[in-house]
Amino acid sequence: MIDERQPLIEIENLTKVFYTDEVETHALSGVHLAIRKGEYVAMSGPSGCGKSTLLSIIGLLDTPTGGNYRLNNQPVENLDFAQRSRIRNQEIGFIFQSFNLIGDLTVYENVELPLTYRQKMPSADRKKRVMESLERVGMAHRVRHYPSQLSGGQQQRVAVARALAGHPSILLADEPTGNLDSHNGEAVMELLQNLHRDGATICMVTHDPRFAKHAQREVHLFDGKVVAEEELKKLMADVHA
Amino acid sequence: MSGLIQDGRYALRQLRKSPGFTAVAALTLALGVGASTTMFGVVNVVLLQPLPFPNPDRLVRILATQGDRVLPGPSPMDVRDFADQNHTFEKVAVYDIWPKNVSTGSGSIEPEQMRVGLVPAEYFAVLGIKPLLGRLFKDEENRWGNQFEAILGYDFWRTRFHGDPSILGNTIRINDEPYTIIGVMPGEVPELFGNATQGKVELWSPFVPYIAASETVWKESERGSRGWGAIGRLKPGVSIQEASADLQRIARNLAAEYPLDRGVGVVLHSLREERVAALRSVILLLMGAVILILLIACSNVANLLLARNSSRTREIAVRVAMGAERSALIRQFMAENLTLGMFGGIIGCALAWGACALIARIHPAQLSQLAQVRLDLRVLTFGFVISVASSLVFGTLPAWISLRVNPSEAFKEGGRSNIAARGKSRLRHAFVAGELALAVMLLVGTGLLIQSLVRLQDQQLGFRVDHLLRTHFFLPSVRYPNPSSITRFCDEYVARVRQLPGVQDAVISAAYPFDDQWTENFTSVGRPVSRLEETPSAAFNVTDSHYLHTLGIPLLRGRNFSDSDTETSLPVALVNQAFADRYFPTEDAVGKRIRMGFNPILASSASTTPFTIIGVLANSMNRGLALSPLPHINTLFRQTPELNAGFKYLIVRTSLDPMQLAPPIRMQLHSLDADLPFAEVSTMDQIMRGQTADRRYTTSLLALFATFGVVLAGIGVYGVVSYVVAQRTNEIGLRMALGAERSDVLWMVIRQALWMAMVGAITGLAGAWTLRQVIAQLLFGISPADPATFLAAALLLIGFATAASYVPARRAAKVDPMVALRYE
Repeated sequence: MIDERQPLIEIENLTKVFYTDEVETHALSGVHLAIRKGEYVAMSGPSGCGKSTLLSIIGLLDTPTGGNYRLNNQPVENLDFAQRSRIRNQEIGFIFQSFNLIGDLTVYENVELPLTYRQKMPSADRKKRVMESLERVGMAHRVRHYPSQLSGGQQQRVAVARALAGHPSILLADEPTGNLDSHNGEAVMELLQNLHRDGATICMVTHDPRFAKHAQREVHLFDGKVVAEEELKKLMADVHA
Repeated sequence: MSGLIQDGRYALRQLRKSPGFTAVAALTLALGVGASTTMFGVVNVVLLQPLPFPNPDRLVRILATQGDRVLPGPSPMDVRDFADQNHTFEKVAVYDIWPKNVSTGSGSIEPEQMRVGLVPAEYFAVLGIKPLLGRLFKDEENRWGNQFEAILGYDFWRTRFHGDPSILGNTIRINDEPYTIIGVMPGEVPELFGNATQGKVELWSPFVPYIAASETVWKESERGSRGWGAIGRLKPGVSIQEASADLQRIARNLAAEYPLDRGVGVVLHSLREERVAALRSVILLLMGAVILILLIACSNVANLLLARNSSRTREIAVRVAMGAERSALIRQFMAENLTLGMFGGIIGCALAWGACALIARIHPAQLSQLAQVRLDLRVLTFGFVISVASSLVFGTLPAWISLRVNPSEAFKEGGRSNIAARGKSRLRHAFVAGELALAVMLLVGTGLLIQSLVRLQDQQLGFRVDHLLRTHFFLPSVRYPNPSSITRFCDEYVARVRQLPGVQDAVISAAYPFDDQWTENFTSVGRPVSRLEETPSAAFNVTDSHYLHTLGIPLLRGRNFSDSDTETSLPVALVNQAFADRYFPTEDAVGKRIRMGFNPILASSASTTPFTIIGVLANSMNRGLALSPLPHINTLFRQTPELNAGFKYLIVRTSLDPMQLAPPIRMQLHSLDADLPFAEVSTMDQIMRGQTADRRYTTSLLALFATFGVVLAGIGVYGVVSYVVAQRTNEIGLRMALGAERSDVLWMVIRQALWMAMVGAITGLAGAWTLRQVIAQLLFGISPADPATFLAAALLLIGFATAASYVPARRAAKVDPMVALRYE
């Protein structure tokens, strides 16, 4: 059962500043965000608004400069590399725009990859999980193939299977259709919807409004801040003017 | 466990996927491992392997001392007293090695000159060696008349008697006398006590040394007859220092009791140390050189790994995103490095196997131990360990740097972590500068050794080396029992040789330059010495009157020997300039009179007829090339009967190729006496080359290593500059689009290599200066901090690095701005 009252992700006043030589770039400026378990959230906004930075921080690939971040009710903003690695491995599944499958590993090995970083997981369990995930995305018949032998759509399905294999609390998808044609893009979006229907929590970054509509809720970012849809439209109009 | 297997499988797949990278990295590593393992093979044989005797640490060599000088060995009489009076030795033995005429077959076969060990019964007991066949000598066989027993060396037995197990009781002839074969010794004895340049000891007879039948060393008048070999085995638990103190106590008592022992001390050297001392510094230098090569090779591999890891940033980021901890990633990299190291190690050990076989086959006679060099288990383990260690050590830093990836940056299209990129770039340049520094050190060392060798070979020798033939013969006392019979034979033989076509002159002499260290004491008439230990000494030689003319030694003052200097005329001597300078610095030596032997007041062995110095010769090298000439006295053997022994050299000045005259000279010898071996046939040029053979070998090896090092460093420069050019293609295109000319780009790239080369050169020169004392003792006539060599090495390396960067620089200069910017 999904407890919709319990936020999986709670972000308060999150900031991220990049320092390059003497230049400070404020990528995120006081972001507040909560994502509940089982929710499907789309994050959108113009290029450079901070979507991917926010997703990296949510995915514990990056650390915030300030603010609070609780994942599963645990503060995670100040963890060290090893702690973040363990949480990432257990709780988070990534789906990237450019698939990011490892070319030297087979489909099976790519999907198995996050499980190999779990201590003491028997290989029989790993195999069971890998095959379940691949069957779920319809790629079980390609286990011995290498990524280069697959189409873009197939590669992204394998990437989704890899994200699912670890049974994460949340799937983070960064422009998952960005490198796909419209047909394959729709197929991947349908796959994500099916996963959400089965209870998965999904947070997806996209700049394409067609795909953002697939989500339950849309979060708009502009200049590193979360803004309402109407406000975003006004700001964008100002920019264009 | 399954993780490790998976890491290993993935590592193999990674290496298979990049065959070019794998081949270059493995071969580079193999070169370093191969060179190091080969040199360790040499170290293993020469420095590490114990002597092939039981409890070898208890074996010592006993040497006599006089003041600060270490003499070859005490007299047999002293050794007998040491053996009788000590409390610290199990056994002590005196021995010597003489060339003798040995005949194994019937009278129709020409005897051979061989090195025969004269040893008492205790000799083999000291060493702890038992015979392979038969027995050792008995005490009673060490007495005059009982000595006609022989023990064969293993190789002699195998080659001359085909390993016949029933050889015992057979007879061989040594110096025309029959000896019964009573034993065969195992192989290790000759290898240890052979003289590298004169051949190994082939057989042994009892210790009954004599020149003429009436002579023996076992009398008090021979107590001053030093120069014999002496070895001892310490009692268990006794240190060399304790044994040394024990023998010094006895030596003091002997000095108090016997005038001939006054001022004579004793010193002990570990037998193992005796064997390795001369080679240690040169071998450690070469070992140091190959370690530098290994470091250079490892730096290259580290750079290759850095470059390859750069192309794996996204893969690393994916693994990080999947939850890989650093330890897991490091493990993955280490598995790859280890696999690479294993490949390099296997190829390197194969190279070392070949190189060891080559060294064992080809080496100068002076370094005869190298014949034993082989790839045994210890050497193989060394090769394996350094392969694994170097791949792990030099793989760790690139792996660590590569893990400093920012995943969120890496996932962006074209995204790049500036911090990591900058870190890698700095590290890459540091590795290359380090390689260049090591190469400079190798170049400095090689340069110093080459110049040292050249200076050694270019020295004023004091005589003409060309067109000289040297042979040796030995007149056995059975048929040549007294000095007059020896003189008669020598006069006849040399007269016949002088008549041969192509012979300009010939001389018969007891010694010749380079190997002229027969030392005798003497006193000047009118200058008595008050203490025996102050008795002057000089190198000494007995010749005929053609010595100067045959060898081409200039006479500086006075006159040469002449045919009128006969047995009945006044004894005359020639001395060299060093003698005149040392003993008659303020007056003319010509006309002065000297007595050979000890002061007649103190010793009965002194000659009573003084020699008049009739001439002063130019100095000629009489103790090798590296040492300045000793004071030297030449007398005529016909006028020096007490030192006119059967051991003689014939030296011939020819107008033809000297070796062409060997057959007719041999005929002349055998026409006089068919039973004399025509031995040690060599040209003086060959002997001269032999003097520097070990140095040439060492220098050649170091030069080879330096070439490896410089080429590897050049490859490193080439690789890094190529990589940088590839990385900066867009930037270069942009620069050209903005107006940069090709020469600007060319200079921009070469400047980078020059910068690395200069940093490397300065660091290398500092390193070479710091380590200058390591090589100092191997140099001759040049300072280990010779500025010209340092400068030349630095310039050579900078030039080479510039040349190595030229190809990628040209490639950069040919970048098409349109293509480069489109690529961006």
